[in-house]
Amino acid sequence: MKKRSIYRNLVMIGTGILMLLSTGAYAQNRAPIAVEELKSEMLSKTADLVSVSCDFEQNKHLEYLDAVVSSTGKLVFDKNNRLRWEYKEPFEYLIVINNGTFTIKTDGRTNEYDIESNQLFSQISELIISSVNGTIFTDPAFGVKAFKEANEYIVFMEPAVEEMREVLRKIEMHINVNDFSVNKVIMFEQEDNFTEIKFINKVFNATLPGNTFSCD
Amino acid sequence: MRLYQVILFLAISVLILSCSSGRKLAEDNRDMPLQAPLLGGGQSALYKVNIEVFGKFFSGLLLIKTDREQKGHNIVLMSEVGLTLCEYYSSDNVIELKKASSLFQSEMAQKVLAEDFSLLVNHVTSLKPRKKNVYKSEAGYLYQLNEAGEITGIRKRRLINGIRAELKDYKAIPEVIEYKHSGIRFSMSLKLLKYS
Repeated sequence: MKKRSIYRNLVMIGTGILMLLSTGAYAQNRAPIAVEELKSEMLSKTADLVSVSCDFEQNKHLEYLDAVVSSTGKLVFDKNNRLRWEYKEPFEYLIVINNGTFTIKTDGRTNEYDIESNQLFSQISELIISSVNGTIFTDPAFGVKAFKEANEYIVFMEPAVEEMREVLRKIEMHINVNDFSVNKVIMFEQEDNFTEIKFINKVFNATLPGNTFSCD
Repeated sequence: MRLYQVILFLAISVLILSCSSGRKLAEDNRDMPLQAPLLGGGQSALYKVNIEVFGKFFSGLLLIKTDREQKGHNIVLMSEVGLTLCEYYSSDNVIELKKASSLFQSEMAQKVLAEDFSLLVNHVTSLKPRKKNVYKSEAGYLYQLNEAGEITGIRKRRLINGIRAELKDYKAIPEVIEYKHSGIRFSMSLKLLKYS
């Protein structure tokens, strides 16, 4: 009987130590940081950045269906907020944002939208560009929390506007600590659906072909 | 010479027999339930979708997946960048809209899509022959079948929202599906990306 009591105490002490260790590890792994501090550091570190080109891997997870829809492509972005977002596999789909125009090309059809006169495309354009250049967390339309974990800053953004919250519950952005480039964006929808976009094979300040930001 | 004639006779007989068995398959469909065009034997299909409605063009991806209990199909229309636009569930030949994003609130489009999608996943019973390889369902749809018994066309005439669907390039399931609706200027084309 006494042996059983000692054993029970040992288990309790062991569990307590494990809990303390795990709490400590969590606190050490994911340290909160000030958003303003991150913003100013990011602006100063990326001041010389002219362009970024990279490949991306996109996985949309539909948890309740146990399904993942995957696609890959290439992304190019420059300091003038011009963007080329090109899906190559398993389908071809191209988005170009250039000089106030939002252009989509798919299956040989090209559609152009004037960003200034189209509120929806203005918002989408802003969301895409600020997600790629990492300034989305300075947008007042989002409630922002930032953490540092290993070699990444992790920024959690929750839309403040009800309309946007119906579409996106939360955005999680992983930013490289060294070069402040975006490693990964996760967009959480309602329920358990989420889309993860990983940016890989990044090339900074490469000379871009003249037609990079056109659909031709 | 006689041997050659016998061989020729046998070859012709074999050809006639093989042709007649194909015709029998198509005729059998009159009394048998007609298999839905999707997902015969498969678990999921992903299509690229182009939709044109009243002169406006939209595109996206369509995922059709059997549910875990194998009782019905989940049908999800999403944008290429990953946002879910609407979700349907079809079971026992009844389709229902489960969810629609605030980006996709057109009731007309939701209803038209529900009908279009249901034609892909519903099994058809009680077909009556109209003419060769054309059968009419109880719901009034005309089904055009090919010699293999696969659905290559679905048609329903109505004053508003008549429907004509063409299902092409069958592998296990059609690789290309094209819908045209009369009266409401709504058309949709699907191209198969993945099937498993």
